[in-house]
Parts: sequence; structure tokens; C-alpha cells
Amino acid sequence: MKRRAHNERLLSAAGRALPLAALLCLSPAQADPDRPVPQAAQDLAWGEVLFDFYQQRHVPAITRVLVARERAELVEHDEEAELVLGGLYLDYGMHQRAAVIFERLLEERASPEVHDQAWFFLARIRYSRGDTEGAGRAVDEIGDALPRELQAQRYDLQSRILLDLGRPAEAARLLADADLNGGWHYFGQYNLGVALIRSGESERGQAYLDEVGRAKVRGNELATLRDRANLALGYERLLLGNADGARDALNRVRLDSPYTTRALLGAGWADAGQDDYRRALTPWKELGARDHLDIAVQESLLAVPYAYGQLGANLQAVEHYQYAVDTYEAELLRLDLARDEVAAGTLVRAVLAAEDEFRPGAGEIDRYLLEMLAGERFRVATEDLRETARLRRLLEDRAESMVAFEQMLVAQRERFSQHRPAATASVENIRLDTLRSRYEAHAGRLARISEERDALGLANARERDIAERLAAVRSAAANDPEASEEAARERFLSGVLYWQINATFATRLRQAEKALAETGRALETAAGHVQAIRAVGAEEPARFSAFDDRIAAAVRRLETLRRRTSSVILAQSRYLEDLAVVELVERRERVTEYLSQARFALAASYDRAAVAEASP
Amino acid sequence: MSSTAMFSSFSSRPGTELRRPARTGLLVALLLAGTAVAEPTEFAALDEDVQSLKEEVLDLNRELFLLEEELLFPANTQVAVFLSMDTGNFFGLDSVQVSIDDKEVAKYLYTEREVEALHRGGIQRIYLGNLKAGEHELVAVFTGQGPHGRDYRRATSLDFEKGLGARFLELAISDSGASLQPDFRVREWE
Repeated sequence: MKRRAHNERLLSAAGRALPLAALLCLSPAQADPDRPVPQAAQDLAWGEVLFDFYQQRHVPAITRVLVARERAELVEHDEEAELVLGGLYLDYGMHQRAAVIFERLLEERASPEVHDQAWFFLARIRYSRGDTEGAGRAVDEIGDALPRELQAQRYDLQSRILLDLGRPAEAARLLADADLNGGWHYFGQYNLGVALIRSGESERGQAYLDEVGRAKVRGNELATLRDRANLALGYERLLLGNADGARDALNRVRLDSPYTTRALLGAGWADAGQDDYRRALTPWKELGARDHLDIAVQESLLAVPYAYGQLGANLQAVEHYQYAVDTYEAELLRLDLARDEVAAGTLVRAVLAAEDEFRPGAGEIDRYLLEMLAGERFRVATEDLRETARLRRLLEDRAESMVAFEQMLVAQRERFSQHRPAATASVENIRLDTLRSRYEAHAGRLARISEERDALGLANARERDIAERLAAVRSAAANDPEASEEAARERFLSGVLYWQINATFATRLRQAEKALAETGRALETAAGHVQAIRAVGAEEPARFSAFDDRIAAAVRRLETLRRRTSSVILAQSRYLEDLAVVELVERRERVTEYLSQARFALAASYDRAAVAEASP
Repeated sequence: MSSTAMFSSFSSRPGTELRRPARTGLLVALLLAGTAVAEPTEFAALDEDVQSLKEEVLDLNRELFLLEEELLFPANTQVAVFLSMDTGNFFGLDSVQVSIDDKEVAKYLYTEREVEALHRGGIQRIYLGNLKAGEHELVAVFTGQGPHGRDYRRATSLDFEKGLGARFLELAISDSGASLQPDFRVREWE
């Protein structure tokens, strides 16, 4: 029965699906100024969840949802909470928990909106875990009820899945029909262009890249994408022997882009491809002034003397080959030092020391870190390591608070022991039964006065005093035959008194009934307090004992988790160091090969110079 | 949108440098020479460990959240003050100060990110404490920028009765379309 009710609530969530989608797919940095005005939270707990959620504070947000669910605090937002919890888990890297939630939502005959969103997020999970075919099946399940805010992401995901499955033509059709706007359009075109070239349809692919490469865009992210499209297009044209077209594309790359060095290198090769080595020297020598860490710069150190050699300037070729040899040898030394630093733990310390963004330090490894961080796998590994370190700090903070909990419990026990005797005595002194009897007697009397309209019954103290005195006069007059005048006066005054009281009877009765009701409420409040004090007296020792058990259990769990966290941090550190070493080894092999070539070319240049000298 | 995700197709395609003119063939080949990388299975195993660790930490955090509230702020004496805000066209919140019975219990300076979270429907629990049963007075003082960017300071108050159960009060900042001014109220939740 509970399950059915839950399903019905889920179905009724359809009307709220749009704000939910906005909530799931927008991060603060991407907030849409035209976003829908948020609906006011109907439960305070839900508002608290959103406060953390919108700040991307995953641990507090997830914790708050879990607590709220346990306390049944999300009466009005139960359905959203389930989807948001799945989204939070997904965003926090807990794919398995997220998948369980989305699959459960699908099993529960979700509404079309919830159904489509659940399949969308499942597709994302599967794709991120390398299950491209499974992701494709999930995305095929998405109907036409996916909220507008998620549509662009859906087409992006679906096109990448199709490209990865080797179906570029379908991806092209999808993107052409999708009518994506803004940045999503260019990202889609870029991916499509690359995929078409990869699948042998170079001309079509170049057209897509050219469109992105010429786009007028705003913002660094899209400008960087445009640079990348121009770079890919330039090299594709170089391969096909279209030197002019290659230069045209490569010249569009900005001079301060992450792709500038590769564009300059390619531009030189475009000129060299047309045997214009003098012109090729311009971009290649420009590269020489840049950081020798860059692969394109390293390669240009060989390209420059090569061009001089082609121009017959052997002495300059020798000079530049020698410079290349010296630079490569220095680079190899630095790579070895960096590798030693990795082994000594410098890399992990640098990553852990950076709270949000890494800033290069003085070590050799720091020179390479920024480039390594550009790689997806390395970046993810550093973020995971930092997150686990944050979890460890959370556990340490919690462990400290356990001490405070224990002290608080001791203080509460002491206070309870001190106050219990007095509280028990004061409660025992309160005669609730007596008070209730008096209250009921008073209520009965008032009922009778009301029923009999007994005006004198509602007389105040002064009136009662007067009535008593008049009664005394009446009694005396009754025994004194000569007191007829007093008797007449007494009758007159008694009549006046009765008339005065009777004239205000209704008001007096209302006031008396109101006072009685207030007394009743006060009596019940007192009874509540008495009951509460008695309950506390009876239950508090058991409550203290339950807290003892919970604190002890929490301390044990904290200790276990702290040990486990440390061991995970160790494993993550090793993994990160392995990735770094692999990167450094790759670099070393490449520089070694460059060095070998430079030495060989240097020797050949010397030979040519010697032959030239020997020639008459 | 994530640029790294979007770039993944490019980074996984054969490197463009590979197909440069043959005279630099050796250099190009080196760029592509794949060196063994850490095994994906190693990452998968580690990822499983991390996910399981996160799940346990979150579950413990949930238990400690409950334990803390039940131990330090029992329902009989608990009073909580929340702050909410709508679109905030007429008021930019900088700080709030909350006093109960003339005693300051909370003072909070807001970051842009927190204000944005409030605008989007978030509610902040600004104070959690204990109060005896009976009559109390809450006073909240808000500072920030009012209409036309002028410095703005406003106070609002509420007399409330604390009974045996927990008491929840919400400081609600909203735009008054009629007066084109911000409106500050204290709402009581059952």
C-alpha cells in the first residue's frame, strides 16, 4: 500500500519536473539569467537541501536529504528529493548509488518526465564508465518528455555515443536535426568534423571544422574550441598537401591560446612543405622564445636548424643543433629530478596543498604539473585524491566533536542527578486531582447559575458583602415589629442590588465562562508539565544510556573509516604518482629521441661543413 | 557544459601531428608512441573503493547529524531560525544579525554564492539552539543594498510562545511589488 502511494506521488510530480530539471543541470557558474523563478520550498528541510545543493556542497546536501528522508520531513518534495539525490550521487562520483536510484525510479512506473530524466542520467553513468553500447540503449529509451534544460546535453551525449560506436553519419543527422543553440552547436559541429575525418570523409569533416573555426564566439571556452578546430583543420590540410589552406586555418589560432605553439609549428611546416624555409623560420623561431617544456617548442628546436640546413646556412644549422642538444640534455636532467621528486612524495604534497586550484611551486615536478592536469585522467585522479583528503578532514572534525558530545552527555547526566530530587518533590506536591475536582465543581456551579439564571450567583465580593448586610437587616426587621421602615428600605435596596446584577448577567456569565476556560487550559498545561517531568524522570536514564551506545558506536565507526580513508589516500597517491611517472617517462623517451636526432644531425652538419671547406 | 568532455573525441583520435610531412616523420611518430599507462582496471578498483568509502562516510555523517541534534538540541527545547529570500530585486543581502530576548544568537555575512543559492530557492538554517518554554522575542536586523543600490538596514521582530515541542521560525525576505521595496517578515512554522 505504501509503495502504491509512493508511485502516485511520483506521478503527480510531473508538474514540477521543469524546475527540477533546471535545478539538476544548472551549476552556479552557468546560471541562466532568464531562469524560471524558483518555487518556494514547501518544507524547510527541502529548502536546506537546496541551499547546499546550489553551492555544490555535496556532502552536506546528501546528508541533509538522508536525514530528511529518515525523519519524513520531505512531505511536499518527496519525488524531487529522489531525483535530486540521484543527481547528487552522480555529481559526487557515486555512480553505483546514482544508478540504483534511477533504476528504481524506472521500476516504479515513473511519470514521463521522471522516466526520461532517469534514462538520461543512466546513459551518462554508463557512458562515463565506458559502457558505450549500454549508454546507447539508455539514450534510445528517452522519449519526448525530457525537460528543455537537458535537451542540449542529451544531443551532445547521444552524438558522442554514435561517434564512439562508429556511426558518424547518424551523429551528423542527429546534430543537424537537433537545432542546438549557443555553445552546444559548436561543440557538436567540432566533434562531428573530427569524427568524419576519422572515418575517411575528410572533405565533409573539414567543412564542419571550418565552420567552427570561423565562428564569431564570446567567452574563452568557445574561443579555445575555435582554436582547436583551426588546429585540427590546419593539420588535416597539411596532411593532404594543402599548404595554403593549412596556413589559413593555423593563422586563425590566437597567439595566447593553449594551441598556439602547435599552430606555429604547423604553420612552419606548411611553409616548409612549399620549400619556403625562410618563411618557415619565422614561426619556428618565435617558438624558440617560449617555454621549452612544450612539445611543439621542443620539436621546433630541431626544425630551426633543419630549415637553416635546407637554406645552405650550415654554420647557423650547427649552432642551432648544438643549442638543441644542450637544451634536450638540460631537459633530461630536469625530468630525472622531477621523477625523483615524485618518488619522494612532492607531487602528492603539492596536489593536497592546493585547496581549489593548483599554483606552480618551485619544484621541478611543478613545471610539468599544469600540463599533466590538462589530461582528463590525471585531472580526475587529482580531484579524487583531494576529495578523499576532504573526507578525512571531515572525519577528523567529527572525531573532535565526539569528545564534545561525551562531555555534553556527562554534563547532562550531572545536571539531571542534581535537579531530579527537587523536580520529583515539586511534582509530587502538585495535587492535580484536587485541582481538577475544584475545577469541575466550579464548572458545575457555573452551569447551574447559567441554567437557573441565578444573578446573585455571579455577584462580586462587594456585592456579596452588601447582600449579606441586607440579609442581616432583613432578619433583624423580621423580629422587630417597629422596624417596618427599615424593612421597606431593605427591600428597596435588595431590589436595586438584584436589578444591577441581573442587568449585567450575560456579560458576567461570559466573563466567568472565559475565566473557567482559561483555568482549564492552565490546568492542562500544568498537567502536561507534570507528565513531562515524570516522563523525563523515568526515561532520561535510558536516554542517556542510548546516547552512550550511539556515541561509542560512532567513535568505533569513525576510527575504522579514518583508517580506511588513509589507506584509500595512499592508493590514490600511488595511482597519481604512477600516472605522473608514465607521463615523465613518455616525455623522457621523446626528448631522448630528439637528442639522438639532434646529435646525428649535428654530426652530419659538421660533415657537410667540412666537405664545403674542403671543396675548392 | 564541460569542455573536457567535449574535447574527448579529439584527444582520442589519431594525433594530427602524425600526419605531417614525411620529413619529420620520426618526430611525429614519437609523439604518438604510446607508452604503457596505468591499467584502467586499477582505476576501476580504486573507484569502487572510493565510492564505497563515500557511501559509508555519508551514512556516518547522517547518524552524527541526528545524534548531534538529539543530544544537544532536544525537541522539547529546540528552536531553529531559518532565512529565505525570493528574487531579491529590491534588496542585496550582506548580513543578518539575530537576537532572542535581547541576546545575540547569530550573525552571518553572506557570500555571493550563498545569496545566489537563496535566490534560487534555498533556505539557510541560521541558528539552532535551546529555549525554555514561555514567551520570547526574536529580533532580526538585515543589512545590504536597497533599491537604487543604497545602503539599507532594516529590523523585524516577533513575539512568540515556546511550548513543549520544537519551534521553527523563518526570516523571509521578499520583494513587495506594490511598494517597490523589500519586505522583511518572520513566519512561524508548525
